Amino acid sequence: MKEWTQGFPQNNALVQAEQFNDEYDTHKGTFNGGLDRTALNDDWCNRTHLKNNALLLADTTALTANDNFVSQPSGSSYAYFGCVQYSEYSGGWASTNIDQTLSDCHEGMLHVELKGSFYINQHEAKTNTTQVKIRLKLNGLRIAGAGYFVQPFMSFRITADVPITAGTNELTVDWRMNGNNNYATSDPIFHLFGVQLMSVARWR
Amino acid sequence: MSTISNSSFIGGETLTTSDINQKFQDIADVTTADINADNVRDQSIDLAQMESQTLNGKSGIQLVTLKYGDIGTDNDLISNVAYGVSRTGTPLVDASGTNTALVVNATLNTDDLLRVYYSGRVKTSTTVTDSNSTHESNACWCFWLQWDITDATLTNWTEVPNQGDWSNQITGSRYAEPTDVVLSATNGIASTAIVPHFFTVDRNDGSGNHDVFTHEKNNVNGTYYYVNTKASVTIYGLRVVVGGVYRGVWEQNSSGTTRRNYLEYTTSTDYVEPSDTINVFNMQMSAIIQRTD
Repeated sequence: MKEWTQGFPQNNALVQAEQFNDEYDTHKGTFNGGLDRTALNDDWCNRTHLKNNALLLADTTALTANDNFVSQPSGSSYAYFGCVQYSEYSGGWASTNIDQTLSDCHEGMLHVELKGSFYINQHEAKTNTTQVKIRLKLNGLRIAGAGYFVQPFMSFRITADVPITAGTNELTVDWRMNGNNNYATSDPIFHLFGVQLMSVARWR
Repeated sequence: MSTISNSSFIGGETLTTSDINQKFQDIADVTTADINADNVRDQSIDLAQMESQTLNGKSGIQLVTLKYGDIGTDNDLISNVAYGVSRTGTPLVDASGTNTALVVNATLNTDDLLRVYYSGRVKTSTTVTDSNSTHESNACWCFWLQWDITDATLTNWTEVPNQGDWSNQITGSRYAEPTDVVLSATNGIASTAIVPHFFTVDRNDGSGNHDVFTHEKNNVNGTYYYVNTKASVTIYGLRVVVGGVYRGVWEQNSSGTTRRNYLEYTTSTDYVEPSDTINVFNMQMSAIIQRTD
């Protein structure tokens, strides 16, 4: 806060224009951009005083499913999901089409949650239990991971808090599973569905 | 704009009282109602300036409401209730059979984000045997959310937006909810948490036979996100229902055209027997309403 540094006119003294102007301009300057946390009262600022996204940005994605590398059965009706078949998965981390782009961010902290469900075909896994991992990446860098999951059905929620930079930030999701479990090549093996990303970015 | 832009007095000119009064009136005008970003410095608003509540620190700038509580049976390790097969779901009840819910009594304004979390413990039982447990073990139970937005009597429950109750008939007598998209406000699985009914393990003895197991203790973790793009609505309560048994299918819709993944209610003995149950222990639920901007 700009301090009041000018003196007051003395009693019975003749006030000159310059003297008045100095004192007045100091006073005026305080209000012309000089108010700060030492001048403002406590407990007054609420939503009505803040423009949108002044402090935060929260958003969630639409319900979706991974449809990368997904084979879909043909015919009239099939008693399993259209999903990743064994012949499609060649090992390692596989990307999904599940992502979220956060635009107009400021430097701050990001709280992100990934929720969804998956199906693993354990019935056809003959030599080992099929194990699945899921990871969440921010701008290509892993920020959270979970697994191995082994249940045939499961709903999950993965949470991370991480610093973010100004500008645009991109969240993506990958999955992977363990090795050869002696599936037939056309066996459905994994389906990631009902997925949403929810992000709360805070910069103040 | 709230900048005071009047000019200085000039030496030698004659002042009137109105000249001087106007100078201070300019300041009065700004500080009475018009203080804005032109008046405050960068970083000038700190935590102390936030209009927060004494007890919980809530200012309404981000968090609007946070409610949490128990659903179902008492919060202990042993109390539970067995639920039988049901296509459109059964509300979680306490040990005496009374429906349970989380009382919310909060307004979800336009553009607000509703976040609901629920978690608990379950176990399933089945008499399905190896001889009919085929089709990739994709039998499951589902939990999902209902809300009451009518009044505080908590007697008018409907599925939350983007959540169906398996009353949607996709073809013939088959009822299902799409797992990959939200087809309508009452056709989707946005709040659904899934637990397996059973799982099978290949004996790996060359016989091709499997053993059928249920999870004696299992967890259920439900999550629901909803940004209200419509008019404000008062949420009086939230509750969890459980239904099943469902199975994953790749199916056409009723007109035989669009094909997508569904969770379909089934009574096939490949997946479920009429006496099969899911036992649900205490469940914890929290509901957060927060601003999105």
